[in-house]
Amino acid sequence: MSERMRSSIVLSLAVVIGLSTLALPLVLSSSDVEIYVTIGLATIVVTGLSLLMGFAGQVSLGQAAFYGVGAYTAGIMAVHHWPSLVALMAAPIAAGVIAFVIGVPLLRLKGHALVFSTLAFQLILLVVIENTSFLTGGAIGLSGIPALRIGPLAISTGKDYAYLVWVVAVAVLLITRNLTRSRPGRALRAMAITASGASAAGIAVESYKLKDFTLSAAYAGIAGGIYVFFIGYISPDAFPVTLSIEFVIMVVVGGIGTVSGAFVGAAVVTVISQVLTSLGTSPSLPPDLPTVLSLGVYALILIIILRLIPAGVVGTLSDLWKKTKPSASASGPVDTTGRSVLGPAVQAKDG
Amino acid sequence: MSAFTEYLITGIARGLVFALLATGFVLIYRVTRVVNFAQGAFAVFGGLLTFSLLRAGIPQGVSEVLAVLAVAVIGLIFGVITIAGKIPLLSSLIITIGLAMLSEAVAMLVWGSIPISYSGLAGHDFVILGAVVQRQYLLVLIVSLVLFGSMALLFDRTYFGKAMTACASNAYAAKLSGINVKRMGLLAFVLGGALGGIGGALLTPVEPMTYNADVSLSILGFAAAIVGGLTSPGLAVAGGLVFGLTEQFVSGYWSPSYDTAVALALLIVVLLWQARRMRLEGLE
Amino acid sequence: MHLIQTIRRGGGLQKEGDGGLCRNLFRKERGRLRKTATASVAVVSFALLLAACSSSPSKPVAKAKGPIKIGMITSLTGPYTPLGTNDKLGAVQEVNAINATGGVNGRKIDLIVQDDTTNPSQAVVDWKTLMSDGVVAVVGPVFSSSCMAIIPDVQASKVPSVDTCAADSQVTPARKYVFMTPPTTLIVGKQLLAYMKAKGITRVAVAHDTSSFGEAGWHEMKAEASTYGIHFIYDGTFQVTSTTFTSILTAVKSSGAQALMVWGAGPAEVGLTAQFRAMGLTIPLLFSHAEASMLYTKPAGAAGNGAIIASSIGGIGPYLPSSYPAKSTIMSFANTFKAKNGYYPPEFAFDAGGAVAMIAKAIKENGATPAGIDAALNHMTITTGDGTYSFSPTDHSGLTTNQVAITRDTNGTLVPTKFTKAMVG
Repeated sequence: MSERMRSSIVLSLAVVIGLSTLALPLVLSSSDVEIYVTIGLATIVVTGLSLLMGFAGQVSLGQAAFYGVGAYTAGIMAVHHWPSLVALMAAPIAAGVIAFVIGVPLLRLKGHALVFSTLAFQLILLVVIENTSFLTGGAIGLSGIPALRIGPLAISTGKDYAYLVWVVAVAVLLITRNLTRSRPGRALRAMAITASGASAAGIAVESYKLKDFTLSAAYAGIAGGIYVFFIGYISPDAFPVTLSIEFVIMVVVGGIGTVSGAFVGAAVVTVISQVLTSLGTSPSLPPDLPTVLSLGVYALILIIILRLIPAGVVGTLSDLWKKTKPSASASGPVDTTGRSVLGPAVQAKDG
Repeated sequence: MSAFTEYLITGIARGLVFALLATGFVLIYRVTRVVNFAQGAFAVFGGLLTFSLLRAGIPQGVSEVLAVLAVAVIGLIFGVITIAGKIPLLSSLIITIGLAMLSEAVAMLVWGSIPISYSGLAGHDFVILGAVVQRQYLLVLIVSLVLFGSMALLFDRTYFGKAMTACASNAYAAKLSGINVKRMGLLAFVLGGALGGIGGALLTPVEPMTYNADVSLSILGFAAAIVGGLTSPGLAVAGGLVFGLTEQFVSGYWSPSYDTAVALALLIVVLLWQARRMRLEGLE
Repeated sequence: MHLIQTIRRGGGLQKEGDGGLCRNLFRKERGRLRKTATASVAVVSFALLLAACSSSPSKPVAKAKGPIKIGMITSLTGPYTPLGTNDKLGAVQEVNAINATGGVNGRKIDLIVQDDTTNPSQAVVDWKTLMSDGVVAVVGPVFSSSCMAIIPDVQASKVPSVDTCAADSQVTPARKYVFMTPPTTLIVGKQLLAYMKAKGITRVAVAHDTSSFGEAGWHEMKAEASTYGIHFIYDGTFQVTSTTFTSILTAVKSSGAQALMVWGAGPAEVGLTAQFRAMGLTIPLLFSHAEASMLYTKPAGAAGNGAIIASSIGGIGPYLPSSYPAKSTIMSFANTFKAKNGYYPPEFAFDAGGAVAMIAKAIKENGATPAGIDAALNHMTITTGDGTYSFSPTDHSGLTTNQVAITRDTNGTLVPTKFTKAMVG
């Protein structure tokens, strides 16, 4: 198969997925639309995080902090009667500015010291939110956040938010994809492999890292902004450290350093955890069961996925794709998709 | 004066517990380069198992030792799951997070969700410079000093300890000189498990243990360990003490709401200072 | 998710038209496409298919003669697990009791439980799931932030939610469709102040956590203090996750306070109690109703002995005189609970059981429609394990200080103080 044919397959696949996700909210029940929005928001955050991890080689265990900054920025402004679209636009800006400001010193740290400092930043931020109740509502939170209005359009139903999230997620994915294929993208990729080598090749490593960190925070910020209008209430409980950990899990499950992996990771992890959360709640079942399922079984699935396909779903598939013979047909994704979750063992052996 | 002493002693004791958790991190990281986020789970198991053994009528002292041994076995199992075969480091790290969640589920099933505690070292609390100090803290102090001392000896003076370190700094050379790198890694998990277990068994009498305490314990241990770049047990102890003391003094002289936040911020400053110093040294 | 419920209820996917189709599609695709592997976005299609499958089957059929669907949102995972699990046990027990005696108006109750994972956003998802299941009323969350998060949806869907969280702000002012069963922090605070006054205590130190519960409790109490002649001379805050209280306790010691009042919910209070004793403090140690169960008394152990703890009236059931109106309701609930679970029900169980009882009574009076239930709740007087409620359109909490007991932790058991014995007669 020629390179052109291969890329046209990938492109048409992307279009098919894009269109089918666009049609999906029309047929989903209202609670499934909620999950659709959750996946979309996670995709936006995880795309940024994946960019940071896979391209700049920096792990952030505090990405939920920027999600929170975006949410609080939009929420506080909306409560104080700013036009909601302005509030939403301010969310990524605030998250980006904060990331830039703390990034200047923090990005001098290497490896796990940086991981720690992002985690610490989130914990500090949560304490600050809890103790500035005049602004943030403290632990009680902020309620009465009005619905989003874009010009004459009121974004109020779940479906409205589903489309808003779709548009933003697609925009974020496209921006990121173009970025990773541009000169800065190649520079970032080089950095992830060897910072000193990249530096020797004339790449301004520090500057790229900072831009990347800022951009990934802005992604999280816009997701947070949408979130706050979607839920209409905000409290520090919505941004625990475990959420940051979940974002990292999504990156790794999807496949680090792949743009589409962000979407895949967000979708797979969200669907698995939603299924597990709902499975054990039936009145006839013991009340301990949900913990066993949503912690124990979730953890087992996670461990099994990572043991069998350590490169993540998209990483593994893309390795396989590179090995495919010209005879391969284009209609593969549904199958490979199913198998990579349902039968990872088969997959790994095949590879 | 008594308030100051009170803060000082509590801070040191807590700092040492963090340091115990941190040394587990250090040990495992030094040998395998994996940041083990299941370290807090070792402590949880240490505390909960001791509780069950004590309730089964096994005397104090014996219970703790048995619990720690059991946690060492858990450490081995975790080690196998985390590092066996070929696996990227980041995946290993996420697997340790998975193991921590799995541990929470198991702990919840066996011990339930209510905090669990047992009485520590018997006898009256004692008074130092006007401050009342729980006797358990004395035990924390002695046990940690002994452990830190022996770890320093292990790494600096014994062939075995040097072999463990060699695995991480140059796995290829270590292999050439006949060291089984994987086996050393598993051993590190066993010892890391035991250290976490000891921390948990010592901590539970003063701070009741819950099935989900592992997240905060892991974060605190990680915080202390990072000061030594995850490789130096000595600096990890220093990190633990800085953290514990900052928490107590901020809590005492400013507000308990900000204790952890300020301690974390201070650690970031320490890390930045270290990075700057390293950069300056690099330039010379 | 319908898919999930289908699995949960033991129905195979193929039984439902669309579900079966989806599944077959899966199987076919899997066989046909095995040979290919494509780089792009693979799992997503799986997720989409799953989502699509999950959404299409079975619009809930509203059968007038079938069981009445009541929803429940509680925290079965996450930090509030100990509370939520007892909530669920209490609600399920009440539902079983009602169904065993023939149900309501001849129809059984079908309780549909959702886990909010102690996360307000999940509570919103749960609410929408319950709405698409067609429930007529909901036993609301135990986690305060979840209660606050669902309010807009509760009001939009016009389905009453009888919440089991202790957040005053949800009912002050009374909001349409939002009710609560635990005592408010306001009436608990007042009763504790009355107790202090009766004991001749005037100079009090307070420690509270920064959770919404801790903040609300402290602010309500502070606002009422002067009425009872109480002066708060020290105020210390701590985190829900705090584990050492040396600084607070040192300050309390040197402040000369006659008592220490603690507002907070979670494991922190257990550590505080141990350290309070360890530092040799002997002044009375007072807690709100958040500590009124073995979730506190058991881990606190001997250190908790003597602590003064506010409790809903259900907590002292065995000590109530048989003339007390709620006694029989409390004891029949408690005895069943104890027989099944091996311990006296904590307040959370009473709260959720009571919420089910209220909804059932409303259905009996006004029929199984959301509007009917809401109308009945707005004028309901009912005795549950938490005491006697009188709801009105302006009072959606319904309890008074008379339903709050002041107890003393006596070797792990909550024994009413003389103050409360005098109140209940």
